[in-house]
Amino acid sequence: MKKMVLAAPLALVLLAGCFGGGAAKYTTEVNTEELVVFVAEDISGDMSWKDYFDGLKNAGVITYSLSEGMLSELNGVGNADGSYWMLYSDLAELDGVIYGNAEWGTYDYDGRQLVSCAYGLELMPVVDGYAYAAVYVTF
Amino acid sequence: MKDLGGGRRSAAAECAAVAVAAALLIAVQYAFSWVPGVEAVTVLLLCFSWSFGVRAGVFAATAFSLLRCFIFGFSPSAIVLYLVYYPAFAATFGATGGAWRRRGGLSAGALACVNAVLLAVAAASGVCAALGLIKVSRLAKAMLAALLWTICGLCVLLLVAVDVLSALNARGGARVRPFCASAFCAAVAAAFTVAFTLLDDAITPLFMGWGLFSAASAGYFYSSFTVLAVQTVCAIITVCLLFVPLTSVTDRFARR
Repeated sequence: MKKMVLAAPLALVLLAGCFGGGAAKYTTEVNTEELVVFVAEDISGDMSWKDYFDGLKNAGVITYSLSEGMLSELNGVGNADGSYWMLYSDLAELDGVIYGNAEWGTYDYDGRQLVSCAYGLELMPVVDGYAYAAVYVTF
Repeated sequence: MKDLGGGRRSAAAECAAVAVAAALLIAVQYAFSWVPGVEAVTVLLLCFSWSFGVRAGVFAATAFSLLRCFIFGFSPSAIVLYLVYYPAFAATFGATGGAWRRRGGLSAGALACVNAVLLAVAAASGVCAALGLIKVSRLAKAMLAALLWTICGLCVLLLVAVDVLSALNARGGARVRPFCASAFCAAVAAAFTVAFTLLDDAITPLFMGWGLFSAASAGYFYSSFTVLAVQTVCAIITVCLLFVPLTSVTDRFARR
């Protein structure tokens, strides 16, 4: 997992900017210093989790920053030794593509079991009806 | 570096060279860690091993694999991966460099192997790109296809370069010899880079207890292709561009 998150290639990130986009209704269900959850609604086009967070950021709902492809700070809380922002979603598989797996870790939210994501913010798609959670986890 | 005769260097000189190489490897890995997917460890270790030989190369690779943990953290699967991969990488290029200097070029067997490897990587990349066999995030599909076609094209170019330069080298074209070595090393480095990710795809699931053929391992395998593709392109380009200037420096120190 570490390799995937740490080595998310810059070229892909730059290109993702060209291919990403879309529009959505930018809202959160939970928005605290240790947990940000949203359920995707009214998504049009191919949208990444980063695009959605950009929408929330532009609306003044959250603040966040990325470092080396990782979510390094959210709502003023940054990664520290032993504590990191982790990404979970119930979008585990779609069109034969694996986006997450329970064996990598789970997070229960509102009766849903969210699983640890295979991709970082840039490459994780936001799809209508699925829940997405950024959780500050201490190991 | 002082030669004790018979091509042997003093132990102190070799230790110093290994220490400097390990420090440089950690420094370049740290420097490029801010540019995800881009790395210069491959070309640096390759050139050092090529010039200094198997023993110094393996020592430098092992020291680098262990000491880098103080910066990048002690992850058991990463330690095993690095301790398997980099010493094997250094041993291969150390042995190849020695053989190259003795023969002055590629043996027919080595040339055939490189041709086979390049054809295999080019064909695999092309087929995967054309048929969309790699099940990655839909946001990465177009990018991955472009990268796979790039690898395919670079491998075909390398294949032509290795064969043409080897033929010219065999006809006594000493001026093309370093470029022939460069193309050959880029081809082998590309194969090693692919092997690195595939090795990680085997080691990490075993360490994490996912089982090799589970859905978790499959997800890890497919998502790692976005990294593999960029790193392979990076390895080919950096070795092609930097092999000749870097080995001109490392050769000078190795022969002192």
